[in-house]
Amino acid sequence: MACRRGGGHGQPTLATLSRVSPGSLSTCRTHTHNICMVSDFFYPNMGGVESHIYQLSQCLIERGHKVIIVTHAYGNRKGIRYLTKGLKVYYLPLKVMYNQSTATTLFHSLPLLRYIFVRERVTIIHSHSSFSAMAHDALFHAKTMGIQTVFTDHSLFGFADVSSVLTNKLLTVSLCDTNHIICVSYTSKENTVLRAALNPEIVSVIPNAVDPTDFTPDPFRRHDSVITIVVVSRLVYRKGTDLLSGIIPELCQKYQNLNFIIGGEGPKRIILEEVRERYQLHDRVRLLGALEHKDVRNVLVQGHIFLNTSLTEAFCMAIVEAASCGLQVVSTRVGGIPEVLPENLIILCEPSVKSLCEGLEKAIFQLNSGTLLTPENIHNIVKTFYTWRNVAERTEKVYDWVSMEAVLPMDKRLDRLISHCGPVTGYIFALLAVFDFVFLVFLRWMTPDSIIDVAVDATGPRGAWTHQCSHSEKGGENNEMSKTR
Amino acid sequence: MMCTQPITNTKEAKWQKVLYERQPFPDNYVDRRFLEELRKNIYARKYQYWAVVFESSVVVQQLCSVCVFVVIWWYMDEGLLAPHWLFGAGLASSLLGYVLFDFIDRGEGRKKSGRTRWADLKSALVFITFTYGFSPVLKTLTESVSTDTIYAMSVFMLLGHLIFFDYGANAAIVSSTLSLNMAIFASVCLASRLPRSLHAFIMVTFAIQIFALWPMLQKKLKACTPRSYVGVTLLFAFSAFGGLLSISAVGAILFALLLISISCLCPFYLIRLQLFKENIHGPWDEAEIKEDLSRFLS
Amino acid sequence: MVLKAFFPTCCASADSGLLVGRWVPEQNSAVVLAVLHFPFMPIHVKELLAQVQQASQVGVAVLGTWCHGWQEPNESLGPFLEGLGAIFPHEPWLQLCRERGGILWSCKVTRLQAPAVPDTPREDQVMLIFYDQRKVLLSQLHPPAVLPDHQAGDATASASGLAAVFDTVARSEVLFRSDCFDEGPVRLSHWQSEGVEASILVELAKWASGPVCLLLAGLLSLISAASTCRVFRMWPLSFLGSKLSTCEQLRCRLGHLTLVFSPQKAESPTQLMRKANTLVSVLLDVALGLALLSWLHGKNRIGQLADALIPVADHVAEELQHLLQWLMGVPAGLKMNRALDQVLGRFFLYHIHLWISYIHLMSPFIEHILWHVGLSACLGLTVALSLLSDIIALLTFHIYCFYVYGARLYCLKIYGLSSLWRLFRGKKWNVLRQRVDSCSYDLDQLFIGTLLFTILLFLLPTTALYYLVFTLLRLLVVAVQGLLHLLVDLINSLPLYSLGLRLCRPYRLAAGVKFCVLEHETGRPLRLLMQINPLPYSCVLHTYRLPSCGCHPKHSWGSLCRKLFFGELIYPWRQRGDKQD
Repeated sequence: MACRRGGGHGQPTLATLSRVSPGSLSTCRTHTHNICMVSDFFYPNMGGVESHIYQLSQCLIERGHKVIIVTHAYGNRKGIRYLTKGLKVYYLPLKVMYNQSTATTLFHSLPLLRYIFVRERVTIIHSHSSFSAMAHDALFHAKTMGIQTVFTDHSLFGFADVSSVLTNKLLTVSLCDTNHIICVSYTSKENTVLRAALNPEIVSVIPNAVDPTDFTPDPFRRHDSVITIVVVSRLVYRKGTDLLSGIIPELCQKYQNLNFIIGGEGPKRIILEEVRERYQLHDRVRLLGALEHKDVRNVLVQGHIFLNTSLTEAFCMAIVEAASCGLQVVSTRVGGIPEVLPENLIILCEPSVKSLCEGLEKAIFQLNSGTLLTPENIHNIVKTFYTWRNVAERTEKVYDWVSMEAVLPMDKRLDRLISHCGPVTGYIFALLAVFDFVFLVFLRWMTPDSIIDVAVDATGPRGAWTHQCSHSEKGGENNEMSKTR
Repeated sequence: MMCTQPITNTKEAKWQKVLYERQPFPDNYVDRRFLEELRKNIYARKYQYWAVVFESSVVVQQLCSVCVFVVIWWYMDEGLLAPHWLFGAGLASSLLGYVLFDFIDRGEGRKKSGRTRWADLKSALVFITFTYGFSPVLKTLTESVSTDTIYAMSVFMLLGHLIFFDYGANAAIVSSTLSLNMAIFASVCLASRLPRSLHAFIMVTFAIQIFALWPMLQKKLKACTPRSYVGVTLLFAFSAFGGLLSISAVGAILFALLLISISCLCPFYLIRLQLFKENIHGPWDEAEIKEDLSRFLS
Repeated sequence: MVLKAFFPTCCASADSGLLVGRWVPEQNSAVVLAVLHFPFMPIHVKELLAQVQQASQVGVAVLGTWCHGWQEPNESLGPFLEGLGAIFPHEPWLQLCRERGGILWSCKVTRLQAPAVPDTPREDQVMLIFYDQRKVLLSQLHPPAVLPDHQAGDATASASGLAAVFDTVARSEVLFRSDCFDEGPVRLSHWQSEGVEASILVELAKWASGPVCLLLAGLLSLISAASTCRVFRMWPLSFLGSKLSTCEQLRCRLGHLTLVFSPQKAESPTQLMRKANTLVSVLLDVALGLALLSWLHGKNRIGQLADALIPVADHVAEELQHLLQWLMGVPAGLKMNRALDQVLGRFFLYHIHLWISYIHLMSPFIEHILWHVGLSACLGLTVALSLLSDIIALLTFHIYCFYVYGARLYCLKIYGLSSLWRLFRGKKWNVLRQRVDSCSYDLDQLFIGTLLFTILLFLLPTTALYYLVFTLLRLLVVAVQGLLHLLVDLINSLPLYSLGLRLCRPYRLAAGVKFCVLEHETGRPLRLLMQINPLPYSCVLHTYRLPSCGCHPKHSWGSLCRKLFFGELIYPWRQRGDKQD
């Protein structure tokens, strides 16, 4: 495992390498990478993609790579910020169009992104989430600039309606010359391969992870005189809130000692409130409203059973978190959920009120008869499943493969676009790619790469500040210092 | 380009579609079972040609309604049709339709909806009174607006009526309220062009009959006696064609072609296109909630 | 660490003696206030210092010695001065010297408690800063306004240091009371005020001001008590009182006068400044008013004005009639509903007819009214202007009426149309959830709704045009009134006294200081001259602007346009429900 790294990075990485389970893959790392994570979704926005990017970047930095993150400005948060371990985040001044995704004209982001890529000497662009316009823009520009690209898909799409046909076409274009794609579950991989018409060989499956130390059981927090079912999700249609509104009255009438705790906010909250009013369940159904991520554990440990009613899910982090807190999980059998937990930890049901009620009743019966595993046991099993270090190690392997590939020259790229994306779309986007290239040439003429100064890493020139960093880190992990550009 | 992977013990270990176990395969491993849960066209319906033709008659009916309305308006505007005649005919057909409406299903629908005859009478009175009261206003309403504007607006509104009409499809665009309102708007616009306020009154009443009441009767006819429904549709189509023929031969022919293409060609084309259907389904699809969950809230 | 010694320029030529001042340990600086001359008895000096300290709450002490070289170039003074350090123990002990015709300055600092390593004597660098004692005493330091973040830290630190210096000088005013001609046990050298010639007049004024203030304050309180009496609280009067700008202005002036003549002493300089500003503003106002009065009452101008007014009002009414007739035809080629147009037009014409007859009924009395109104100018120009604004409001009452009718009609239509448009789309406004819900209407509801919608839609342009024209007229009137109010506000709230002070005595309002280098040589203390930066005019305005009174609404342009679009009434006064924006 001889790994050559930049000076001064050695100490933390060695410690982690010994902890990584050696079973899976051999390491063939030869050098470190300069990785740029691009997504519209990052802190202060909260969600699965955001924490994935953050945790992955932290672990990659720990392993000696240089990672920067590019996202769009969130209100007053703009310019450059540094997070823990010198993780540099660019908040670009791009207009937000819908749902925190930026508007795209395909070209307007090129000057900024090119400047960042050159300045940071980026070798690999890693885009996240197919909902993020900025991620697709970055893939497109990176190919124009001849940089290797990786894309992580976090969501599932159907094929049935007009809108998904259009978005799938765009994804085909966007991913047609991306070097490697990462999906979070096998179902997600099948879905992405079909949507973007990809060669399945260039799609890797690397699951999300959960920090098991954040989600530890605490059996004293729950009252054993009643059975508490916990639901933590956004209250929207896709998360199956309508199913929940059917389950609550059904089960509450059947079991008198059953309580519900529901965390999360969303447009469907009103139907839950209506159900609660209609059946006079104010003392048994608690609606907590929006939860911060740090409060989730405190809510989870109050329950015995975790219920997930999602109608579609690529990789359900919530059930892993719940299982890590020692809860019995009852979930719908949709998307990648059956792959996430072994059968003895989860009860899978069809997405209908009847089936979910049966599943919950089974869980309640097991609970009453004492055949369930204890929370500590569940936690001890689950904590070995998903760790960020493992994710980072596997992602790193993808980077290693990608960095050895050759970048397609412009003519090959156009050929590929035309042959791969269908006649009409192919020609349109080939034309756009040409425009992008011309624009890039123009930009290079305006400000040549040579006069763009190289950014100093947070580790200092040639890693000179690393020691100080590792000392000061201990004080405040999440301290974040801002810097005016 | 991929790194060499130690695929030595692949033979012994069988690949599982699970994420929680570290398996001795590379991350980009593609198993034989890849995409085995893929299904195609599981919800595709097989169509029968004549059944589709029968269903398309709703569209034909609505087109004919609009056509008949325009033809009648033209006659009124030209002074070829006395308003009394139209009123008489409308009243007679309305009464006939009313009786027929209850007669077809022996009053079962009325029992189910719980609507009394007194409510019907009240509605009718409201229609008549308001239309009669407002007809002088309607008469002078648009006199300063140019005729072309009115025509354009009416055409636009009638087209909207046809687009948003509830043909039985379950789509987001359908809104029977909007459709009916657009038709009424168009009829008010057109009625305001007529020479006298009595004309306007009768025109608006007629619009109510043909756009609001006639589709209700049609729906019931179609549900209860499909045979007679086909007959009525044919009769209605021919009368619309005849009416249009008396105004403009070219228009009538075009209209006939439109009707034929909708009722015969379009179903044929639909069935042909079904052969090319390729709808992909799999575990990634968003699950549908099949139950009626509103019962928990009622 | 550099030791800063602030030294008054007026003492630069004083005889040798002791330095009296205050030591500010946080800033490591010594503020010299005066020089105490020989000969003296140490006990007397200590008494004096104790007195000053008690009166001013400033830790005044003997900081060191001062030696002026031209007096007698003998060496015997040196050890004597050093010996004084034992009598007046102070840490550190300053020894300031000016030698050889005042060109060479030297300063030595000795610390009694020897530093830890005696071999390396601590060479405290001394910076000698000269300041004009008079200016610093009189000036009022304004803390800097909010600075951009990155400078804030430094700026506040230096500002607090300066503030300490200014504060020390200002508070030890007691020390400067003693005159140089006083025969006391100790002789001090410091800034002396020169202007004592008018002191008798000043004293007289001071002596008289107390009773006069009391008398006036009593009078004013009587007036304000009368104005709050119950009769004025009754409905029409209170309403009028709150809407007429004259009443508002009178009330505001009453408040000003009460403030000026209140027998309480102003506590802070800001309050004092405010009083002075108010007084000057009132005086100027009355002066301008009297000028106006004399102009008006000379050469029968009132009569001319009255004669001109009636034709103008007639003319306005005539123009309005023409406008209405134009609207009743085909205005600008717009397609109006003829019937509604005629109805509205006739209605408004009748109003104008009423108005003209009213004006003619009034015409004989106009001159008298104007004459009496003119008298009000002696209360001040602002009152006269407010009265003018009220008269304009009264004379354009017809325009106001038209506007209200038009706006109400338009508003009704807009609201009707918006709710019927929802019905047209099969939606309705859910009041409980504050959102638009879909709703299934009955057939007859739909029919009537659409019928009304169509009718309202086709009638909307007619109403909208009337509304637009009358709103424009109304806005014109409101703009004229707004200008008058602006003028009144300007006179009311302009801090004239502060501005005058800034113009004539710029140092009185200090924004900060700047330093000029007098001498910079190695081996000698750096000598700086501290000069006072005057406050910029914009800051003066911002800081001392009197609160504007009155009831004028503060519309933002956006909310104004919104209100105009939805046909809500706009008033030149503040409504009860209005939000302040």
